Amino acid sequence: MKVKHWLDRQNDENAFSLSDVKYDGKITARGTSFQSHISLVSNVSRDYSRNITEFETRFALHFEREQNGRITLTGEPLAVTFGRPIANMEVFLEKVFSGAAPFRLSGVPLNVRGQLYRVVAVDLHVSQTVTFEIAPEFMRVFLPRGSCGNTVARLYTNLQHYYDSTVELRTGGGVRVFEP
Amino acid sequence: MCKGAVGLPTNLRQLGDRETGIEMPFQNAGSEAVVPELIISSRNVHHSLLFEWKEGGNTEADQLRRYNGIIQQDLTQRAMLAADECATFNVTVIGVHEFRDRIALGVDNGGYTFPVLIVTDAGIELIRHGFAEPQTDAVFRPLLNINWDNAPTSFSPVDGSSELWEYAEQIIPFLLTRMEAGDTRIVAEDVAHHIIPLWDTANQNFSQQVAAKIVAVLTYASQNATQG
Repeated sequence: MKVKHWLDRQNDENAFSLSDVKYDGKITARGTSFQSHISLVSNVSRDYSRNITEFETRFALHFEREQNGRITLTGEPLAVTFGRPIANMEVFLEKVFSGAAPFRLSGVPLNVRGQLYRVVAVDLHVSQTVTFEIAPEFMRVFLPRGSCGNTVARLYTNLQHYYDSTVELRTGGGVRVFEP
Repeated sequence: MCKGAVGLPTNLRQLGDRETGIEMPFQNAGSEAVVPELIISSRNVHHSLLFEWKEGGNTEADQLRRYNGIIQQDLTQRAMLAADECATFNVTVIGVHEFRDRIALGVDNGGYTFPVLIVTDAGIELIRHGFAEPQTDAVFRPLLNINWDNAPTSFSPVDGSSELWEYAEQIIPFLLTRMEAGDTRIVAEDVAHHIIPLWDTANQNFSQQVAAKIVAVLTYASQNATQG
């Protein structure tokens, strides 16, 4: 994605950077203002960090017993939705959960019922377990508490880049996590 | 029911319902113990639902009598619900389709007005009585549609009655992460903490059941690791 970024466009139209922002976080820039480039990188980094923190705090699942004895469940699964249903579940699951790059998720898919599969996978990037439920139309991600929110962002990016550019990441209630 | 997209089906979430207690014991006005499997409450419609699940066809007359003794003050003073989320409430019995008549009969015989919900292939059906709160009532009329084929299964993946393979599905990935971290000794207790929510507060019976299954899986894995 190409981005033209001005540091302070109203006061200086000529101080800008032209950046090439890649899916893997690499940013290369040309332009007239190094400060503008730094500003863009800082913004991207801050937004990414905020999203990751939100994944970990809002979505990570865990049961909790309060002092009054009440047990509650906090967190919620995230859902990656596919613009086009997965045509061949076996091939898709084999590719995503083989442990190989780019997904680096290792797990054995189990058929729950019909076209719904469950994979308790190991994210080899961070060596933590994450549970997935996959159907042709969606992939649910159950992030355990204490796991890295980066797992979700990487999965979303890789699916978008390598599988289907129309994938979306949604909350359990259907709200889109990343705005286009 | 508690396996909906974010814990609850969308229709109930839209009414503001959220889980407020899972297997929460408290006493009714007559100081008798009740333990609903799930309590959900909504501040929007000021209503609470106390669910009692039945796997088989038998309802316990004494248990239903104790549930019938619950009054609103019990919920605020003993179950710690806020007054504005339980202005009205319903104890609700849920069963499976094959026992629908027997479960309804158990409620009828006691002369209770508990709503009776039945899990069918199409969703959750209200077969007796109704809910005190009209919008909640409307959710179940004629039926709360649920596509079971896509219903989540991973909120609480194993319990005391789960099969060994279900335990293995949870345990093996965890073992791999510990091995990758360089651990040379992994005890069943660590595994239990990882796969069972609130392991520290589990009762002894349950703990023993689960521990035995974890040990069985670990033993099998250690003796058969080189096989296909």
